[in-house]
Amino acid sequence: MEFLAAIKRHKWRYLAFLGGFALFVYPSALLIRAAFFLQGSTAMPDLHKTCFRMPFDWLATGNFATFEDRFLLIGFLGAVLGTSFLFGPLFCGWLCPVGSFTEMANKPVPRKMKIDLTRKINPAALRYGFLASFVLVSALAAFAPSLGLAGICCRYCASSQLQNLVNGIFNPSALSYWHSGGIMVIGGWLLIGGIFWKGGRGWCLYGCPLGAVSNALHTIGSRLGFTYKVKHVSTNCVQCGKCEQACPSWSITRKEKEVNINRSTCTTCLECVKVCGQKCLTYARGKLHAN
Amino acid sequence: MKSGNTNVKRAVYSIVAAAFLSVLVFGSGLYAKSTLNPTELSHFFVPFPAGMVMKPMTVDNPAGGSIFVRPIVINVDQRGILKRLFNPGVEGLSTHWLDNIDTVPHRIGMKFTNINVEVEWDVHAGIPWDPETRTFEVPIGPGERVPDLGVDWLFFFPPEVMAQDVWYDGSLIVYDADTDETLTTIPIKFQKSTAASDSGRPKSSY
Repeated sequence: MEFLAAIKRHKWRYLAFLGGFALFVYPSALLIRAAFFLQGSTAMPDLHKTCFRMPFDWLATGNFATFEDRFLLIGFLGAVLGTSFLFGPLFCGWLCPVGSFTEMANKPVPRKMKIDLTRKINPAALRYGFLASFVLVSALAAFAPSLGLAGICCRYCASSQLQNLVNGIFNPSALSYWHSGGIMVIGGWLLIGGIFWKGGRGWCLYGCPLGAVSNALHTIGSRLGFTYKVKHVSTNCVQCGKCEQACPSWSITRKEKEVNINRSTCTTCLECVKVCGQKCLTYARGKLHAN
Repeated sequence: MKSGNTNVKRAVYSIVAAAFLSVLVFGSGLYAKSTLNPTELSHFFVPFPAGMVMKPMTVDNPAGGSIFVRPIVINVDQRGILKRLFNPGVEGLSTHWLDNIDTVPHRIGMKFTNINVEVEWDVHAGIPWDPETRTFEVPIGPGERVPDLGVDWLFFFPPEVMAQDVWYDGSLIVYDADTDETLTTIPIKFQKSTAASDSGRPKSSY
């Protein structure tokens, strides 16, 4: 089985996926539990508490006061964005439960059944198109209420749906209520953007503002010599295309003898580095182009 | 030349994809505002004491600003089509905002009146909550809000209730658990379009 070989090849990453669930998703949610323990809070430690969307909604609506007592969220965001600048979006590629869940759900699906537009569109357009629209809709909802818009932050939230699904394993009644937005998200995140999307990371491209901002920072950071990034050394490259196939975020395209890595979507998952038999791809510091 | 054409095509497709996504995001925002937010898992503010909330109003918050509070009227026929198709018999209400606008602390409890169906309470907060008595175990100071609050109330409507015009007509009462004094009463109604209304066709409040 191809996907089992991929998991075996890069087992530390798939163990990290489990770690991401253990850190962020109820009932374990160890990181959030630890933060609440230190604060003396009895609030429920679930994936919602490190929301990937609300901070960008608050920024867009000028709702800065909401940040005042959100130490956990600020710390989480600072860590994710800081590491993205210095090391690439490691949270997205290695820990994010929302992305890792769909990536895993996607693996057993035959390749022919998956949506693959890698060569037809630049996925950065989806990513930043979504971010711009998300921010604009939030701002218009707040500052121009007569337009009849509401922010799409919470109503269409993949984190909530993932947490609900996990809650449902332990308590089936957690699955008794579904709202239309949640059902739409199951379609957009788990089905279209997950199970039937090449790589299983569709929602990351067209639904996650944290991923978009992380990659914007990585795009800038990767140009600096002291930061880490995936690099391609073309001298040994035999143009086999395995890296392009292995990339879950549609970040690698081949053109003639060049392999292009799209920094706007690369999650530094290192699937390409692991799959390359010629050792043409490395994760290292230094100049953007290794040769 | 072929490579150039491919690049142009890719750029055009990318712009079309981004535009399509933008339309989808704006459409989702419109749909949320017009349909989903007022009718499905509607969120509302609960200041106390606010008395009987007979109509939408704002109350002053000693912590600054004002708080909007309203009776909750859900027109179940206005819910999203996916909700009506896949999960019509369960409806929810939610709040994250229990604010003490008084000058003295209150240890609060909550209850529904005129309950005719099963209601599931899902309450999580940054202070201890007693699910048996449905009261918080510590008081909320003047101008303070229950920290990290998430309350979902799920109403399970059996077919015989769903066949009626009005599915539930009652209220949420917020009271002082130490004195039993009623602080805020928010009327809550789940009804169909066909239900009688003083103002013609009933609309969901939001």
